[in-house]
Parts: sequence; C-alpha cells; structure tokens
Amino acid sequence: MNLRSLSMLLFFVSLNLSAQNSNLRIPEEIETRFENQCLTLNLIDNSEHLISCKDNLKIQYLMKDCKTDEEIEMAESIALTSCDKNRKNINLHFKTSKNALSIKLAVKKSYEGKKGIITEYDVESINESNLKALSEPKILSNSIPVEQPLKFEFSGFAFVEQERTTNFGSSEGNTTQTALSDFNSHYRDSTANTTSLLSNMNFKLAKDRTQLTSVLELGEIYFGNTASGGGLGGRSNAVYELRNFFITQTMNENMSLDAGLMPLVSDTRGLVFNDHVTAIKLSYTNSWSNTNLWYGQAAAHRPGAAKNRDVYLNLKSELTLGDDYHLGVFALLRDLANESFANTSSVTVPGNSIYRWYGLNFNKEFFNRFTPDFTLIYNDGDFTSQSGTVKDSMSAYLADLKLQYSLKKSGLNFTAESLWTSGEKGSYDSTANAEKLNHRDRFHSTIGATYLLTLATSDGADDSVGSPNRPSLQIQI
Amino acid sequence: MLRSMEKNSTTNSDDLGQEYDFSLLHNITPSTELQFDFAYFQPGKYFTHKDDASLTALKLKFIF
Repeated sequence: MNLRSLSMLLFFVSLNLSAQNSNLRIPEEIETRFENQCLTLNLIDNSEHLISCKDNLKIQYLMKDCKTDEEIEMAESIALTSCDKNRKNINLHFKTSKNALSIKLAVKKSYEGKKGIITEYDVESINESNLKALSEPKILSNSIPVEQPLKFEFSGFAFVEQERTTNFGSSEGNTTQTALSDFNSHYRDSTANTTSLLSNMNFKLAKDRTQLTSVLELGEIYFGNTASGGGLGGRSNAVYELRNFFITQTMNENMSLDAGLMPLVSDTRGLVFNDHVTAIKLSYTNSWSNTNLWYGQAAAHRPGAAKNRDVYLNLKSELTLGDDYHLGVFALLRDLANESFANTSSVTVPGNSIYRWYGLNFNKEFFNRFTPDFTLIYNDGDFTSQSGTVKDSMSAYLADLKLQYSLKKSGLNFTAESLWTSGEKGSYDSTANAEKLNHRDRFHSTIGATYLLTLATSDGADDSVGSPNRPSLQIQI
Repeated sequence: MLRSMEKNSTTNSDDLGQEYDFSLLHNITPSTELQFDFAYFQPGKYFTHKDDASLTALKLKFIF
C-alpha cells in the first residue's frame, strides 16, 4: 500500500474481561490461584522425562518492577518444588503484598543422562506472555537427550463473525474520478453485512532439533459470496488454504534456521511488511536480543500473487535494554519487477524498482501502566525502465507515535496513535492512472491491509502468525 | 484504499482524518472469546466527499 497521508489520528480503546485473572493470560498448562494475596502456579511439565527427586530443578523468580512499583511490592516469597514421580507438576508459591500482575521466572531443569548432566531446559526472564515456553522446553547445546521421541502437536482456533460496515469500501480498481475523490467507493450511506467463518489448524512434528510447522486454514467463508465458497454453502475448493509450511532446525541454544512458507515481518510493528512468503530465515536469540535475517520471494511463491519478481532481504534486531527498554532496528530491501509510472505525456512506462527501508522502534512501559511507542522509518527507491532509458528515484518517511495506558486490574486499555508520512504533492497522473515519474514522494508499504478501520476488526486474521502456541493435543511416538 | 484516492485540489489539505476504535473482549471460558468491535472514521479535508464511515463487528472465537 502506498500512503499519501501526512497525518492521521487513531484512537483505540479496548476492554479485556476475563473470567479469572484478566491480566495473566496464561495457557491452560499453567494453573493459577489467588488466595490471601498469594499467587500459586502449577506448571505442568509435558516432557517425556518425569521429574524425580534425582533431578536438579532450580527455580528462580522475580516480581516485575518490584523495586519501583509500589503496587507490586513483594513482601515475602516462598518457592516449593514437588518431587513426585506420578505427578509432573512444579509448584511455585508466591506471597505478595498485593495481587501480582506480572511475574518473571527462570526455571532450569537438568538430570543425569548417559552422557553426563543433561539440561533439558533453561528458561530465563519469561513473563506471563511466554510462560508457554515451559511446555516447550528450550533445547540447549550438548544437552539433547538421546533418541528423543517423535512429537506431534495440534492446536488452532475458529471463529464466526458478523460485521456491518457503512461507507466503507476500497477505491482500488475503480477508475471513475468521482469515486476516486471520495473516501468511499460506493454510494453514499451504503452499508454491507457479512458473516464470515474461519478456522486455523496448527500442526507440529518434532524430532530432536528439527520441527515441521504447518498451518492449514479451513474456511474464511463469507456467506453469500460465491468467490469465497459462501454462495455454495462452503462447497468450494476456495475454502482451503495452506498458510504455513516450514521446517525449523535448532542449531544451538542461540541459533535456529527456518525454511519454507512462513509468516514474516520486516519491523517491530509490521508497518512495512507483514505477510506469508516462501523464505529462509536465520535467527539468533539470547537473553537480551532477538535478531533475524531472512530472504523471501513473494510473487510466484505466494498464493494469489502475480508471477512477477518480488524479492525481499530483511535484517531485524530487537533489543531489551535495562528494565523493559525495547529497541528495534531493521533494514529491508525489495526488488520489484513490472512497475509502471507515468511520464510527462501521461504515458505509462514499465520497468523495475529497488526499494529500501531503514527504521527503528522504541517503547518502554512506565509505572506498569503507560507505554509510549515510537517508530521512524526512512524509505527510498530507484526505478529503471525496461528500455533502460528512463530512471527515477524517490524518498519518503513514516513516523508513528502510539501512547497506551492500561488499567491492568480492570483490563481496560486506552490507546491513542498518530501516524505521519511524507505524503504526496500532486504526484498522481489521473489520465495514466499512475504515479508521475520524478514526482514520487509517497511512503511505500507492502502490507496488503489498509490502516483505516482495520485495527479493531479481524480483517487479515488469515495473515496472523498462526494458531495460538498452546498445543491441545500432544502425541509422542 | 488510500492507493487510488485523489487529493481535494480545493482544500489542498493532507489531513486524512481521525479514527476512533472501541474493542471489548470477554473471555467466556479459557478457550472461548467473545469480541465486540466498533470503529468510526471521520474523513479529513483531503477528501472531496467526506462521508463518515463506521464498522461494527461481533465475533465468537474458539481457541483449541
């Protein structure tokens, strides 16, 4: 998508109500209980190796921001470990002065194997959002148990959504000028009602250091819409789609390699690129950083894309500095074939482009409530006509400021966001229906979704990373 | 949506407008979510015809 805007304000309010603790969104594998201002966690160990009293199980814990946040001040703490061969539960017991809203844990489990001490997992600095790591132990170098069994996992989600829109449409593909000058491409006060169905099935097969991940999408049916299968009651081939199919090879405790059809993002917010493409990705992770380098081919390797050259090379690094200072930097290069722009005679000139993006994102949570998030991205590109006689270049920027305030006890979140781009200054040729050469200054974003009226919807749900990472079915062979 | 729009030459403004979103998420059970979304967009002076737009959605999601 090309952004022409200079400014746009977004206000987002969300309320998250939970039947239990609204702030600790914990997988089912982890049971929580608050009693008398105490937090008890039952961490269910799903590994094939039963915990026994011979195990060296080391548990550390830290209350988040306990030094600075008065509301989460820890008055006393107790950690207990239950060693029962018939029960694979690790029991942690915390006592706090008030309810704990967020915790960090470090859990290390090791035992004596055939080749000495084997560390089955060593998870550090995890919080409520990735406690699932405990059910998927991180494999350390030289610590993989011999002859790991083949594991199969299944999980997913499904939803039914009823949506009503008014004056909401896209002008893309509409060549009439009356429509192009309007926000809405349809008649004034036009409304639309849609009922959509979508399910997302996540399959994983793992053996030792290798894992196959596949996500099969069944549905995305819009009732009444024949193209989506809805006009035929779902009796259409269009309701099946392979979203992910990639193999992950763990190299060591820090590095992994992914190859196949996978979800990828270019930057922390996914503002420039956020899609599924065939790619190869090398990742490096340690306790304070996450860096990945990926090469992807979108066109001709992506369902529904034209068979043009559309190649990406991306480097992204996300760093945690100090107490919850998050810094993300990225660089993305796109090699795109078969673009057309208008010359001074309103004649389109086909050619190829190279686009580049460089950006950073910074966010930090203050007082356990207030989180400002800032993004700045510079974009430039070069165009060469197929004949090689016409050349053009462009540069643009995007800046985004998002302020979020969370009342965690009530689950109420307030978000205000403003987005600026360098805009356009008469760069569009209405006759040729294309941008004018030597006048291009709009920011380029490759994501398929629009910004407006999509933040609170499920649009693009099929482009989500996949199913929730909490297996509902596990089989070991 | 923005790709094919044409700027209002009279106002010559770059103001696209303002958007207000409201989302309500209720966890009925640990595996079931009920979500209500409402979004309202007021087009800015960039547009020639500034029809307000809105979106309302209700979603029931089962996570397994």
